[in-house]
Amino acid sequence: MADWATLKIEQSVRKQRVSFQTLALSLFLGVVLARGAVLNIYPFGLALGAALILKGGKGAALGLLGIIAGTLTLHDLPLALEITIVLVLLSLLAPLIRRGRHAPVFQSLTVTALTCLVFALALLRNGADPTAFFSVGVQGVLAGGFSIIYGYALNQEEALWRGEFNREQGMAWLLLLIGAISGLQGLKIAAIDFPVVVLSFFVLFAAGRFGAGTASGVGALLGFLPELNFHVQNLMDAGIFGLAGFCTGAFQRFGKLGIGLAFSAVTLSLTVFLRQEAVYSQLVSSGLGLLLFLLWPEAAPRKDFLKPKPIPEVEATVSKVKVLADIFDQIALSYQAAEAETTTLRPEIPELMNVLVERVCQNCPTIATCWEREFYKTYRYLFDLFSLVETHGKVRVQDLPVEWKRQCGRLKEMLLGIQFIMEQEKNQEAWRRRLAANQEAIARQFQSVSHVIGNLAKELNARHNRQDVKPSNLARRRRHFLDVGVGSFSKSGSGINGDNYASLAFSPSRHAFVICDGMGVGQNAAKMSAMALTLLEQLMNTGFDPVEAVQALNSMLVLRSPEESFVTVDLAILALETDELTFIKAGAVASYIAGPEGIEAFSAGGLPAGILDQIEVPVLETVFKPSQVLVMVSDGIPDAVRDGGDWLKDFLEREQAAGSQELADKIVQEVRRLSGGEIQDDGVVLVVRKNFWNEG
Amino acid sequence: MGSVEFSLSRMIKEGFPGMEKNIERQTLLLRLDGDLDMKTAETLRQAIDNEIERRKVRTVILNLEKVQFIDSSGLGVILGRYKKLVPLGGKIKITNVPAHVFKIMELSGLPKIIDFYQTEAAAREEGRGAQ
Repeated sequence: MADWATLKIEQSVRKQRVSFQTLALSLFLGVVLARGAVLNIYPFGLALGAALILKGGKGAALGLLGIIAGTLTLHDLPLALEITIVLVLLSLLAPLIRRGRHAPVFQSLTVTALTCLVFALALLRNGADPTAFFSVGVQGVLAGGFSIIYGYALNQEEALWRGEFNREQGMAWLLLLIGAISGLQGLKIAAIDFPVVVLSFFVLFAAGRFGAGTASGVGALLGFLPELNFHVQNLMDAGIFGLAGFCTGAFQRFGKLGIGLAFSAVTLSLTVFLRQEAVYSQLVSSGLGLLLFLLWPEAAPRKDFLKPKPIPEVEATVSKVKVLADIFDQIALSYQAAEAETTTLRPEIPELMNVLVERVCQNCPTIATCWEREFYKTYRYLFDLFSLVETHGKVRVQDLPVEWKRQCGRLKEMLLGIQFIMEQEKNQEAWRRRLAANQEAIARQFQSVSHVIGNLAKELNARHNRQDVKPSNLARRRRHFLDVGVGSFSKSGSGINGDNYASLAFSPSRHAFVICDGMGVGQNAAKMSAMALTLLEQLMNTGFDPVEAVQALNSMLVLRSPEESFVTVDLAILALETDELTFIKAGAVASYIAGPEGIEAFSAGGLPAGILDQIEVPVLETVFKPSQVLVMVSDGIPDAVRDGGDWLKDFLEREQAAGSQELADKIVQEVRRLSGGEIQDDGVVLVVRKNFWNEG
Repeated sequence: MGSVEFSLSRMIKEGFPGMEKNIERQTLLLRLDGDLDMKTAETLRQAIDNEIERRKVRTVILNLEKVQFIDSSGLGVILGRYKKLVPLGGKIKITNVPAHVFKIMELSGLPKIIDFYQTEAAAREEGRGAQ
């Protein structure tokens, strides 16, 4: 809110300031452009007049007055009259021109036509020669053409006060400036040459804002175009100001003072060599231009409210996505609540007793005696019977106390009934537990989905605000950035390796290596590990946090294959912009980091995925430097030697390999050697190094 | 509450070479010998499941003193029995595990959910002697 309040105040202040400046500018431009001539014709005043008439507003009248005043300074009354007539006619036609869809085109055509008409009629009255009519035609065309450009420039007046132009705005204002400088030609008071003052100022302005190239072009154009002739003097001016602009612009980074010094040095030396007769006037005028440039305020720094803000549509989308995330959170909570409700719905012993009484005692002749006269005694016996069956399962009648046999004539039926009810209840309890576990798994998945959607909302907002822009070619660079070696082998006699691995570029700043080992060997293990790997990849690419992804994978595998098969997941996540390395191990064997400081093994006792409804996923964090090597293996590699030792660690301590692939190959060779040709299990090895020197 | 004694204790040897089975009340004790891998895992699974179904066994004690190696299939059988027994109110206990086998089991997270004991006697005593 504070931003917008400030903006509103500043906008109103600026509006007042611009209003005064606009009036002054209109008057100044009117006077100087009316005086501007190209090849002895005066199209600039007409063009500006047409642009002001079509634009309208407060500055228009003052600008038109300026044009008439400027024309009068030329001491050519017929010309002033002709221009005034054209402008009056244009003012009369303006409402019609503005109405059309292509107003600028009509404006240009009307200006051309009226100029030609009025000036031609004047020539006819004076009986001029035919070449004069050609000049009138050129004047009409130029006036029409420039009227469009000047109209555009006046509509973009804000760019002038801001001192920031895009290409079109810059060109439009440059052409307007050329007309203005042309109008200033010959205007000299004492030693001050006004065209040189203005020219110097704009060359310095362009050098300060846009650098050498633009300043050089501006200097050459402003030096040559206002007179538009090929006199030596004109060409010399173009050269001087073009070169001055180029040399001055080269000092852009040194600020106003550096630019000023460079400009002074260049103009002084060039004038001394090329225009010795006007050294004093040139230096005074350039100095005045330099003074104006030094006094001219710097471009105001951009305020926060000028930064791109989320457009309402994006904000609405982000808001909707957040709501969606909340909905998923609510669904997850509902499942958790339902789970809690399920656990509280277990029937108590008295309820089960009622069922039994209805089945066994209903037709018993002693029902009234047992359940009315001796209620408490019967109730206690029956309760004890339930407790006994619950504790010991199968109970025989002969094992029961004698007084119980005396109490109930249908004890055998009663016992069978209790055993049946208890068995049924146990089955129901098993199903209830499974249902609760599934509900919990689904609740967790909904929560994970909610997190993903929440992250998506954040990402949408962040990307739109350009707060987190990552280089898009990072993923492409990873194959140069990471040196990866892979080795694998199958159990002897089996053609299919049950272990699978993947390299996942799941985030702009993180990269994951995964090994999944399906239970057992061969085809079934391969199917299981491939399915797990695919699911994990999808989850992580969708935005799941790696730990949540492994937990979600576990839930999915449990729901998909209720039988006792599982997958071990060994996940190493490399932070590419730092040295952080995170291991996530679900039933996986140790990984190793080998480097100049020795070998370090990383293991964690995490349960494998896909067998229990809920698992805790252990996370290990460490540092992985470019001088080190990461070695990840499946259990087939350490199990090549079944003596309880760690042969791989010993091997890595003594083995030196130039590249990752070479080391992976050597590990596989060693497994084959140690197994004596009879490999007992499938195996995969991944060797990873960081290659900072190859980046780019 | 009256006390009921069950005298179903017996010791048998079945198809699994090097496996001794002992059932007492609702507790099944299995002494394994050799590798617990893909070749033997299925036999062990059937042996335990049969006792759970037939004799309503609710506690399974595995003595792994003579087990030299266990692979993922062996771990799968143990985890599978755990998964089956827990909903029935039962549990699985492991005793006399050699250090190198325990290391493999530890990597798979078994000690987090299954109780390990130094001796069979400790395993029989509920809640005592856990490592």
